[in-house]
Amino acid sequence: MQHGQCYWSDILNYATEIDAALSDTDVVEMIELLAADQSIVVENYDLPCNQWLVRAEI
Amino acid sequence: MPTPPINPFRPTRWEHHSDGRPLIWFTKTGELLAGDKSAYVYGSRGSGKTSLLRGICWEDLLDNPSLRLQRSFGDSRHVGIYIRLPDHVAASLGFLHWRDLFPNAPQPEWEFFRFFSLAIEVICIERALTATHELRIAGKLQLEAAQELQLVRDTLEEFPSLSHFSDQPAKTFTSLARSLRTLVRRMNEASGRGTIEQLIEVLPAREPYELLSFCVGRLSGVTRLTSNAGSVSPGFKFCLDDCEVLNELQRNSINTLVRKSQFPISWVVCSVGDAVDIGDTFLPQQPLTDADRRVISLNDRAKPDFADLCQAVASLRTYFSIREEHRPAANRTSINQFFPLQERLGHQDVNDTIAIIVGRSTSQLAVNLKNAATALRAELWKIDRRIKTRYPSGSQKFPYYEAYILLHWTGKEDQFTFRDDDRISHMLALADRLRQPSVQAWLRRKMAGALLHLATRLGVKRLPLAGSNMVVTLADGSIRDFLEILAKIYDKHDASRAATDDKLAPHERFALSRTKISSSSQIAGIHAASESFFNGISAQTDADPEAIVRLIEALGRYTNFLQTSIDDPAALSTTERGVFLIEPIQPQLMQDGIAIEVALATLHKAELSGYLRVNLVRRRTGEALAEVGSHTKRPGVAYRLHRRFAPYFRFSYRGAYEPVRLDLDHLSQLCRPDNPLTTDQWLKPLVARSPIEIDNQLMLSLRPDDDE
Repeated sequence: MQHGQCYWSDILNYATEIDAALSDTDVVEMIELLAADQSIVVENYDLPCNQWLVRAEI
Repeated sequence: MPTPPINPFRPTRWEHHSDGRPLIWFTKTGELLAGDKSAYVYGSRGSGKTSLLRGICWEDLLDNPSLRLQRSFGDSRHVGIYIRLPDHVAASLGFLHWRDLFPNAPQPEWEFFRFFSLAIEVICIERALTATHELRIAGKLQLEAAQELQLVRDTLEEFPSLSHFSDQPAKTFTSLARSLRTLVRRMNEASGRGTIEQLIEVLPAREPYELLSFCVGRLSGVTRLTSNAGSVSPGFKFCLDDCEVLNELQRNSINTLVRKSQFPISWVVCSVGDAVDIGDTFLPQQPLTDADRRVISLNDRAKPDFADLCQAVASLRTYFSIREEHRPAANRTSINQFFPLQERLGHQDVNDTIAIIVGRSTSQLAVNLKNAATALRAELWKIDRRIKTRYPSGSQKFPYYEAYILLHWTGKEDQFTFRDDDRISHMLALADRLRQPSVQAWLRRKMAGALLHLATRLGVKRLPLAGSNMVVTLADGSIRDFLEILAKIYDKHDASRAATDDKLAPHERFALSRTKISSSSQIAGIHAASESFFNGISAQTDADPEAIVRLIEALGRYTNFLQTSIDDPAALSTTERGVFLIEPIQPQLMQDGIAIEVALATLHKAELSGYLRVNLVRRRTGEALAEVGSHTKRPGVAYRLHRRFAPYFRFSYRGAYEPVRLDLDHLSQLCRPDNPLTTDQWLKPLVARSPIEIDNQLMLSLRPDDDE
């Protein structure tokens, strides 16, 4: 999240770079955990995950 | 697995495609629209306007297989955005009393412009944001998340009132788009309820075009489109469909937005009808000019262009009706030839049609004509070598219509006699005049007249019309009518086939076959399509469809009389009459003002529905040609029936070309709300006036095609 904000597609790229075995569901889970923690904010959360825009609130 | 029965040529209307992905053929006109300049497109019902617009818009470029076969997203640097205006703008938005709302405003219409243009701008921005969002996800546009957030923030800072239309402050394109949709809904609602005054206070303060320019300008600035020319900032082309619903002030508002627009914003404004908008704007001394926009009339499309479109559309329909596993490979350059119309329907000219009629007849007239045509063929070979290629020896090709005209021609211009004596020697003597190209042209202009005259004398009720040229001509520039005719031909063809246990469905066998469709199926299909066109009028959801039915039936029967009456010498001397010049009436001579109003409204409705076509007529005054004034704002407007009615009413398949005056007062008697005349009553005085006086001082701006 060094950019401060990114699209789902960017997050998926970063995640699979780190661990190619990660599935979409794994990444969704991670994002939701961070959001619950209020470390990040998910915009378009009411839409399917491929439309999310994630902002870091650090 | 068996496939359900399908008629590959249906549905014929864009909105009726259940899969939401109708087939699109990208035409040369589409190339014009995809350019940088704005365009105004006019065309009659079914002329392919919506397909044209959808062909340059992002949704279909992304998902429509037929379009993707021909065109890719990067072929244009513009993102086309389709907006069907009536889906977004309520009718009530046009009926506001601005003078009452703003009694102190020096120009209350300007306040209307400010209000209406806001609705249009907001709709356009909402659609542009949605398009950018979807295209980014599809990987067609590049954009960074930070830029999206910044753009939304900037917009709300510049126009803070936009925040009034959402519960939460918008952050992303989708949430801003949602707020904008709410804003338009509120505007429509307030217009309907008469509560504009309250709403106007919370609308964003801005000058017309400012909001659109602000948002779309920035949107283009932060996004990148990978086009064929490399990575570029995209333009946004707003394609407004069904703009005939707009009133004059609304049209002027759109014109003003078009006049003010510059890259990245451009427009395509599409309406049913003719190019009548003169381009007025709300900008003093700045109407729309050719520099601002291109005007394209699909009604003026060149005949070969329309024939090419028919060819391509029939090919797409049949190709995509085949299940994928049975489809042969097709590429971008050959797909339009998949269903070769010439091969599948053949070509039938007037002499071929006459050959069928005289071949079936046992009357002396038919025998005489056969003999005359045989004698004339030999004579014509001596006159012009080129004629020999048209009527080769040993073939069944004979110059029937030429023989029919020359047999009855007195030798003086447009004078004919119908004596029964043997006139073959007289005909052969006159044939020598065909050395002159002007006489050949004169003769060609009478070919359809000769066919109708002969058919009437032989008592032929149903002309054997068939062939690809006939189908394309009867479609009269409307791709929807072309498909309707083909659909009926397919129905007749399918009904005549025996069932097989082939792995292919009947429509697939039809699509893959290379055999010519039988003439009987074609003739039956063409006539059924004509009849259903007439019968379909009363199915309109119109307040008084009966008035249009009476109007069309009366004009159809009158056209038939004008073109086929064997008692009227004018039927051959001035063939193919039936372009009705509706003469305006001096107010003091009007017998029934309400009936006149209803008649004019009925004519207009019939025109918009595609039953009537508009022709321009000019009047010769000395040497100068002046436009004939009309009851409408358009100068010199005359009406003729759509050619698809020709088989049903039995008039020329080329429609009508020659003008006839029609008294508006008499016409209005058909459309009177109470006690209208029946068509028989209406026709009686017109038919009794035979031979009908034709005003030779009237001339059409279009001349008949002589090559059919």
